Amino acid sequence: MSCEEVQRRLDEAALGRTEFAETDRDHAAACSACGAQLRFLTELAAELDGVVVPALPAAALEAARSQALRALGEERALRGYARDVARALAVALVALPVAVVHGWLVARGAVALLGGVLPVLLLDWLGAVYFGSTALVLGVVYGSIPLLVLWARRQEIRRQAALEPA
Amino acid sequence: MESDEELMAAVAARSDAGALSALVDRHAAPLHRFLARMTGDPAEAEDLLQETWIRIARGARRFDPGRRFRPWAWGIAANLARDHHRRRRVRREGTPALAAETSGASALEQADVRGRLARLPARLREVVVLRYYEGLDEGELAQALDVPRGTVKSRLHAAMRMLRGEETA
Repeated sequence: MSCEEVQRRLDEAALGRTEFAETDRDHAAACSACGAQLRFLTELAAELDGVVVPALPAAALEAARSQALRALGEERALRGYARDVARALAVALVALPVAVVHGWLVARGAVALLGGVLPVLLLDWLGAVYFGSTALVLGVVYGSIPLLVLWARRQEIRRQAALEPA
Repeated sequence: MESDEELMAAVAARSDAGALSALVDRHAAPLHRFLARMTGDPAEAEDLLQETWIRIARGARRFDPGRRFRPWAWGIAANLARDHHRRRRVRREGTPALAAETSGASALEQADVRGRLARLPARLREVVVLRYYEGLDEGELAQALDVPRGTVKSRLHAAMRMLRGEETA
């Protein structure tokens, strides 16, 4: 029986989780280190028991519950966010080949029409502006899809929160 | 009656509001006591309690059903209390506000153990409070504080030495 083992059991007993074993008491009475530990633990346990924390007010309990449920609702509403964004992007991507083909036909028609009239350098510049602005518009449109889905979900959360009883 | 872990599993899998509400009923008061002991201020503890439950709700899906709920939840609360201490950066001198709530406060204020308990650094104070108020064992403490068992032992040892007055913070 080592002092470490005795002190571990004294620790449990002093905190009321187990009963003091007679053998440990005897050991603590004979061993100065374990005796000092027992006195200290008894003092600590008494000290900790002496600290009174006021009971949790009912309003605070309800506030905690309400916050937790609200957070859970938000979590639930946002849970399918990635899936919804993927669906919206998939639907929107259907339009992309149409936009690309349309842009290509417009550019080709413009080159055929203006090729003999405008200098090549100006044609190249107009083409760059056309394709650049088209790419920018498409980027903004597709980039805004996740934001729009998030906005729609937030609206849904607010709508559901308004329906919940106070 | 369903265990805490079963309720948490229901919250994680189905966002079950009833299960979360049952957990709040079971654990809000003990969590509040823990936070009040950590902060020394029951009112601040109420704010931290709300934040704790928000984090529990938001983190439900990350809860490992193989682990126990109590150390996990108390770990969240301990982290919040630690952040709270860090923000305040006010070294408490003497007895925390809770002392005024105790009976025979004037006599107790003179108790060495209480003074030393109040002066313990937050990381040591939390192991004492979790171990001796909340009854978490070393394994649960390691889980709650996300540190190895050896660290728990060394912190407990250091805290005990300070509480016995063998070392100062």
